[in-house]
Amino acid sequence: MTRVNKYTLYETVAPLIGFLASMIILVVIVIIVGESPAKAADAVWKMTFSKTARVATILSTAIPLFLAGIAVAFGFRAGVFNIGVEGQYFFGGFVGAMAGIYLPLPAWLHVPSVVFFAMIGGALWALIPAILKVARGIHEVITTIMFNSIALALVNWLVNGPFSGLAGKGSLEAQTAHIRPTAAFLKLNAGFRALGWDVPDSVYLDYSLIVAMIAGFVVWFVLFRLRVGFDVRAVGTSPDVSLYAGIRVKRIQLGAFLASGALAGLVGLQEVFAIRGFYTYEIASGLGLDGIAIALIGRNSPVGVVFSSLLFAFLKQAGYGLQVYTKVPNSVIYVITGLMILIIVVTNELVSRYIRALRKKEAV
Amino acid sequence: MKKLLILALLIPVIAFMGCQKKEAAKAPAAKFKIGIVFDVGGKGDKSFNDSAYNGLVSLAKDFKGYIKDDPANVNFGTDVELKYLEPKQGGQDREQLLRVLSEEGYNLIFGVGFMFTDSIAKVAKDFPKTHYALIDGYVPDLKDDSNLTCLAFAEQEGSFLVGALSGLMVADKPKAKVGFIGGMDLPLIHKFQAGFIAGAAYTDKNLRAKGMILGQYIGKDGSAFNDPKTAASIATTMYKNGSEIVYHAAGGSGTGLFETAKAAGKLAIGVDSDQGLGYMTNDKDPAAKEIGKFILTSMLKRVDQAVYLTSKDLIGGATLKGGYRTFSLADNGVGYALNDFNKDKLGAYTAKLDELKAKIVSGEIKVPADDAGAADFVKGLK
Repeated sequence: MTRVNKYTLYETVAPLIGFLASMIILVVIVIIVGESPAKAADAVWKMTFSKTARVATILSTAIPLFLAGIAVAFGFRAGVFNIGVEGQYFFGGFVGAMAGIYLPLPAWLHVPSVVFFAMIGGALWALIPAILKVARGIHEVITTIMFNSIALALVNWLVNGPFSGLAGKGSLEAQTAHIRPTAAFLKLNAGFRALGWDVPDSVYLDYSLIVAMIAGFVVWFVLFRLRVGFDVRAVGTSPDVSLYAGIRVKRIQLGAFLASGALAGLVGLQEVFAIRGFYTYEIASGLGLDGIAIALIGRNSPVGVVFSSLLFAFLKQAGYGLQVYTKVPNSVIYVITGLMILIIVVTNELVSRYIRALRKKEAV
Repeated sequence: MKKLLILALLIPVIAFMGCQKKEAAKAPAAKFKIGIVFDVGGKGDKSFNDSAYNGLVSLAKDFKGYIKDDPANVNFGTDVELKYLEPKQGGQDREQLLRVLSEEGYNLIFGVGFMFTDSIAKVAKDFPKTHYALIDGYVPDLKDDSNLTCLAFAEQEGSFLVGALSGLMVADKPKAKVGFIGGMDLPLIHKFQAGFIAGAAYTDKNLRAKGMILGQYIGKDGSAFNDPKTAASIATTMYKNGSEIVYHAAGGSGTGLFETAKAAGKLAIGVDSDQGLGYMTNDKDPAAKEIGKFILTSMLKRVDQAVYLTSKDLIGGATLKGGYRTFSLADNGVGYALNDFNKDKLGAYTAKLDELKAKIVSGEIKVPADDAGAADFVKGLK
């Protein structure tokens, strides 16, 4: 029993070690660039924890990252490598936006229905790669990467062409018409203030936070409290054994793939419905790829992904801090954040190998 | 394992302690703080951002200022603090950067490019004491007392000059045509076309006949600004049909025109920034210089002037007016590119172009800004 506890301890500590190691890299690079580490640390502090507003911004930034992470994680659990979260949220966000623009519904129904349509959109975009995988055995990594490019091109065309909302405006930014006010994701900031957390109105803590919390809970519940969740995890651990045990592997994988796509559809909600109020292909990209690293660091567990998405949000904010308050050049900041992520992933992996080796030794 | 852990914990602590230098005695606080958030692409884009940066450099020179945290160490004094930031992507980070600059007490904050339209309008509402300027974007319903100014450019006037230059260059060839390639078919792009037509017809009467100034748009949607292939095929047709010079207002599609110009051995005119200079100073790609030779000049939107003049008003003590401000030939807000590489080609014409510029500034020539206006203008010349 004590052994098991030791392992879990190692596992929890692993990302921490990675984080510390990445901090060392940060310090080294900052020194090379010729800035004082103290100033850099101060810059990071100012942009991340110095004020309630900054802490709340980390939480806000973590929302789409969490959703992307959990979408990837759910796929991973079933042995599905869904690299296509990127395309799925671009398309899902678009479908959701369409529901937000064209459906005349009262607010209490409109908000849930745009969430629903965004999920449908994301799942639809995962459908073809999922079928290709299950029916023809074509590897999903290849198909989903291709589908990412297709999704970008498609929404680019849709936003510029048939669904353009530009007509007669001075702006050149390709965008759809504005979503109806009934579908807007309102901010929860007043609620947080009532609870004693003094969040200023400028931070985006909106309905998407609730969506993320519900999504996280549902994923946890399905994976660890339902029979089908056991099947999913079994398939992810070993498809052959699962097949032998009578689990319908293909069906589970198809379902997990679509669920992963549906979760991915939620990623763009915050930007479309809370921040911008219309859809544009210029919404933040790269979240799907961040999601892969987030899922890895979070060990594909909903709780782990909460922490790893917060860590990513912290890193992003730290990068802005360096940009605003120090003379570290921007390109170097990209390098630093990239390296930090890399190091965290690598340490994580090293520690799990170490544990595996320990376990093997024990088994012998 | 344990040792590793302790080591990992210790190193950053030591590093931080070792480097806790005492901060230099604080410089006297700047009288004015001016911030800029660049468009995606950042410094070094050889376009709007670099132009805006140049505006900062001239401000530093003329008003004893410095650019904070800049690797180039632009420092002429401490009266004016200048700072630029660069967004990554997404709607949230532009807003965040604008907000941070506002919280840090910057007096005037620029957003470079129309992508800032939404975020700058939101932030401006939250910081009524800070003034904001949106370059090349449009926010509706602003008034004189708003704390947001939309800075626009009289593109038709700059286009008139490059059109006039084209006309002058082909005036001795009665059969030579000129061409215009537009990106997305928008009223904004028609402004460029109208100015170009008017300028070309003004200086070369052969071009006043029907069908001598060609014009075509790449498409009806935003992808038209990033479609070099279509631009190249349009340009090929134009050159084959006798065009000597083709001007584009098609953003990223312009590269298609330039490559075609080189292949055809004819001339092209760039837009927004000094594109010819961009090609000629590209040391990475030897082919770029070959192409650059065929770029006659470019119609410039002087973002640096917009930044400079707006900031100058602030430093001069004026209360900045909200609303809309257009930069034209009169304040050098638009113009054409003259650099080390094309000055020999243009040398013979600059005097005439200066004369035309003076006429436009004085109002003697009224440059049309739409198709109908351009048609009337050409008719009026006969």
